[in-house]
Amino acid sequence: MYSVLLATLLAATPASPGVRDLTVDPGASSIRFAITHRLHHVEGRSTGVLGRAVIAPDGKVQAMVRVPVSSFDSGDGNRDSNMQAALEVERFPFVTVKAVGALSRAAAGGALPLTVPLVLEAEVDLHGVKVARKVPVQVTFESGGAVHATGEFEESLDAHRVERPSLFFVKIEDGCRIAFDLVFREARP
Amino acid sequence: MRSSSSLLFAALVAMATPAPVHAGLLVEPLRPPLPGSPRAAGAADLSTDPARALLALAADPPAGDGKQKEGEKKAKPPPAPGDLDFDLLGAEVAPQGPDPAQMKLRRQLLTFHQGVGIALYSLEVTTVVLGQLNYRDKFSTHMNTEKWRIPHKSFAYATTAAMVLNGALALAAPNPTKKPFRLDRVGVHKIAMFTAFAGIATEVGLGLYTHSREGYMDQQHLAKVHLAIGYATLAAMTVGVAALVL
Repeated sequence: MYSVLLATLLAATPASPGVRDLTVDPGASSIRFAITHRLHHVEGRSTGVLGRAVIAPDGKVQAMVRVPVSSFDSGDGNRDSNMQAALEVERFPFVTVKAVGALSRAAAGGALPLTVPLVLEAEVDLHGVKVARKVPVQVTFESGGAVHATGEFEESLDAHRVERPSLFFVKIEDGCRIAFDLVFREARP
Repeated sequence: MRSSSSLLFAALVAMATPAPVHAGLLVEPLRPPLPGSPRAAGAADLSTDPARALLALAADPPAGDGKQKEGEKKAKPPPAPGDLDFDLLGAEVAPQGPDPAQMKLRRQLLTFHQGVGIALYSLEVTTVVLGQLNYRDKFSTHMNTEKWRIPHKSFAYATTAAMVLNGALALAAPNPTKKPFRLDRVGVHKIAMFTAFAGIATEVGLGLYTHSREGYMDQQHLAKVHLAIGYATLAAMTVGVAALVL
């Protein structure tokens, strides 16, 4: 009761001045992955992205993105089923990435659109195993207020203790390339 | 002790407080503050920050809630720079996941299916080669030694058995994450293998009938059709395998 009332009231309370609170526009954003088998290269994508980023007046950034494993589509329903089995989707239904970083002063001024590079300290939670890494991101501040973030990085499936699926008894390679194209817009009250 | 009326009063005060300039932004106090921000340093004045005041009330639970764990009573320290212990998205609402037992069974059966599939393709190739040699021995060279007949027949039955087994494995594999059928790789594989299954079933019947027409004029014609269907079956099976491999 208390927590519900509190949450309701806080949602109606405005933010501190200068803090930018941004949420991912799922319709304009996507996350792609690519894996390699000796016989073929497979790419898949998800548009079921949930994400939020907060930019403090001093340029500090916190971001969090969550994607349901079941939303990834490689264009092959059977392969997607196998992928879900390998990632134990019933136990670990989401891939979650949290990241922090700091925008340079260049991001504070200049004409829009303005693109600035940013290296985030990130934590990738896949298959219930969290792995820390640096993720280079290109952040573009659009003139309409949207923020566009793109980048890619490679995850080791072994590091996340994923039992790599195999085709004809040959396992897929360990590296899974993940690319993201996220459009953030101002959160609405 | 905090009563619910005092909490409600504080809430109403918070709602009555004029909004700052960035009225469209969500307030952050439910989550840890940004590292290095003024709020992270604990500089917020409870008397002027209604959200903080509400948080302070929430941190001091009402009487009767004494069973709350000791750790939850203590305010969480602000995260150090680089700390990723925050949650901007709130609680996860997990979609209904598939049955893990079914997923495990599916994986086991389809792994076995792949092994039997490799054996099946090898058997089919051998059966077609032996069938061609048998046809050549009987109708092209007219030597009719029948030395290829039993090997061809044996491999044909082994191929049929492997086909039935593999089809059963594929059909028995549960698919708890089933999606609507589409013409993807596995869709092509399924169509091609169903065609190959129909071809093998036809070949068994036609092969037996052709053998029974020994001495009749139509036997060579029937054997030719049997041979052609054999190649067509092998082609369908090749498409089925290639759909997965290429």
